[in-house]
Amino acid sequence: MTADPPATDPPLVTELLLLPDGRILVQNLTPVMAAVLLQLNPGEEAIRRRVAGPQNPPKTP
Amino acid sequence: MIAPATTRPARASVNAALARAMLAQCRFCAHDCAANRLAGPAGRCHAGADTRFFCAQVEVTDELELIPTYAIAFSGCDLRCAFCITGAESWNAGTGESLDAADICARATAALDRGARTVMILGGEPTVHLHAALDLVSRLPSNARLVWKTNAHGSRQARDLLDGMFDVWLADYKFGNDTCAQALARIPGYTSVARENLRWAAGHGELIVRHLLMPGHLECCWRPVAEWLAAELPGVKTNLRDGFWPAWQSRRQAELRGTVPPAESKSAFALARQLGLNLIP
Repeated sequence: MTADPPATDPPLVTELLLLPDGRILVQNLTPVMAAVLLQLNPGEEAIRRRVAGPQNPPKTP
Repeated sequence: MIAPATTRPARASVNAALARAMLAQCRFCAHDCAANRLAGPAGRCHAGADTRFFCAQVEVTDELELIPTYAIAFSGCDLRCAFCITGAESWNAGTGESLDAADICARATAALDRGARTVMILGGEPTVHLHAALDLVSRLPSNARLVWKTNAHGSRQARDLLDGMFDVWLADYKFGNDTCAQALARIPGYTSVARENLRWAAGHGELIVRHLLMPGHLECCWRPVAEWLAAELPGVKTNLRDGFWPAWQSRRQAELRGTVPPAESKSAFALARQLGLNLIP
């Protein structure tokens, strides 16, 4: 089933909490922000698995 | 003679109408207020018949097997968790935007077409807006994988209406005892209600249990939760989350003013492994 996407999309929202020890906690992580966080920290496995992986192949727009 | 509704959207449409009528004496959650929500905001959740939402977007925060998900978060909740990450929206059903079911379902369907694997309905607590949630189900593609993200504080009446409507129940088991539940979320009799919901969900589809590890609550909350899951729901998918963040009114509780110490997190995961829990990322 295919639907026409609505004309305007609301702004995306992600919340980050930066901890003094360098950890970053994330709420409402969007794919775009996940990609940004992975670029900032390519070694972060938890984010990498949320950007792309066997269960989550990269999406085409 | 009226033909029985056989498809999920058709059954959801019927159940949505029933749920809306039941708002006249709302018993959707275990608070059992019997408030007339058709007359306006009422009951412990302070919600009326109108449904508002504060977030609807594709997210990748949740369990790997569910993401990307199109997450629709309703305003309002029947619990009052001091540490709620969305406290302002969850404690106030009047926040956010008015729900346009046709529009939000068009967005969700478009997201599915672009690669989202699931549609997740959450809150706040979606049980508060059962009539609206079922209306969404009636409008979404019948083959969409739907996730019901809940605090597991719903009533039998709510469960009856939800039976067969969602593919996955993503249910919180927040507190390991009634004392912590009352102190941190103002919920009387929490344990028996949560367990009743979890048992039911395990027998009516796919269940994923979530526990948010709270600082200082390893022994009083996580241990009893983990031991119960191991004994009563062996093999159930469990997501132990250690990313507690001291949001909203966490400062009311001294132990909730910080994050989970790494040593506590390590002990929590060790306990899960020791008990043989089926942890999923």
